[in-house]
Amino acid sequence: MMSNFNENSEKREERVTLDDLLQLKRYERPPEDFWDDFEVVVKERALQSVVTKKTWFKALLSAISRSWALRLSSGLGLAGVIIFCVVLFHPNNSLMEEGNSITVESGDDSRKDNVIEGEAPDEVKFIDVELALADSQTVGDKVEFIEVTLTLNESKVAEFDTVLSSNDLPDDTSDFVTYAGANVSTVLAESESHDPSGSL
Amino acid sequence: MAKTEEISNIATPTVGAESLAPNVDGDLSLVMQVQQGEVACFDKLVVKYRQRLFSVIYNLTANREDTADLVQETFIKAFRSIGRFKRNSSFFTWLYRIGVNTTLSFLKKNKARRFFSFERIDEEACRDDVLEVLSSKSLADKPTFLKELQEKLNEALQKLSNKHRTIVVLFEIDGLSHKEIASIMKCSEGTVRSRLHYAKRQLQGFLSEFLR
Repeated sequence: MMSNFNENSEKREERVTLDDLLQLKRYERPPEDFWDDFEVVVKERALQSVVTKKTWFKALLSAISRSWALRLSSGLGLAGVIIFCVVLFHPNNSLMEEGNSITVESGDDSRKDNVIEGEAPDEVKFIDVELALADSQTVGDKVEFIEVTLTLNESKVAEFDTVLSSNDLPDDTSDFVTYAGANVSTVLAESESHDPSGSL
Repeated sequence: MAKTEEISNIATPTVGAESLAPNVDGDLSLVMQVQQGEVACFDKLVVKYRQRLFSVIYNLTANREDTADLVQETFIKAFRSIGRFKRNSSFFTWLYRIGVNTTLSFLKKNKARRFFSFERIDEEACRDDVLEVLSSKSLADKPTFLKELQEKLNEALQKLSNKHRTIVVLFEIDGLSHKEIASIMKCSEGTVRSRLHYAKRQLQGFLSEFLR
């Protein structure tokens, strides 16, 4: 570049062009110590930025909705278990007497069709639960089994939430960085919903 | 027709712009490693491109503190969205685009800011013969002359519109090709050439006292 400049400048007898002036800007640089710790600071800020902290009202809403969801699902589960037990242990229950087949002992034919077509999925679900509990004969065992299943499902939701937010972490930068660094591939996949290199 | 030739002559770089283009070998491999969770590889990309990015952003803002923040912000944005980088363009083009977008958005929001802070010219890298031609003064006066020249250059650049200044900086100072600039600014090469022509004509007027 400089040799080109020398040749050009000799030919032009020291004539200065706009390009010569602009080339001087290439030599404008910050002092070396400007870059001390630069990448460390960038890395910390970058990792910190991918860990989002929920606002207090979002955390409250989340807790309330989670509590309601837990109560509702527990209630529905319990009701399902009670209905299942009532049907299963009723003295006139045909399921107890005739195995897993579904029969309707009274009523007209149209009602019979509805029961077979409409209620089949629920029956399959309860029978699955019953099969898993083949050795457990008490109602208490079955209720506990359902409750544990519901609790496990809830914990899966909780684990997913902690990947995206850090409400459990203190306001300490290094903890955010450690947390984000440990979960970086998941966090990177979940963060930044838009492309920052969009049109100018 | 005559105008097209004129544009083409002015837009042709007097130095080999290709020689200033960054060596992008290995970038994609580093990007893939970062995408797989190896955060340390991103540091290598930061170290590789921080000086060039600083130069571009500094020449757009003419302010060191703003530049430092914007360079950091650019790398942070790049890190956050590196999972979405599809390798349709080179990493440095993508990074520059983020940097230029971030800087232009900042300048739009902060139109009133018009104070300049100057980085020192690396006098070891910049050979004396360049300055001798420019100053026609003894080298003892070099610091004073350099400061004056820097002020005038920055003032002249800041008088250009943001888009014109960006093209001048990317082409004349950072040495990118018309094609690379078109890719960064998402416009045609013809637009780059015409904007460059217009911008240089304006600069010639602003810096006439130095052009002898």
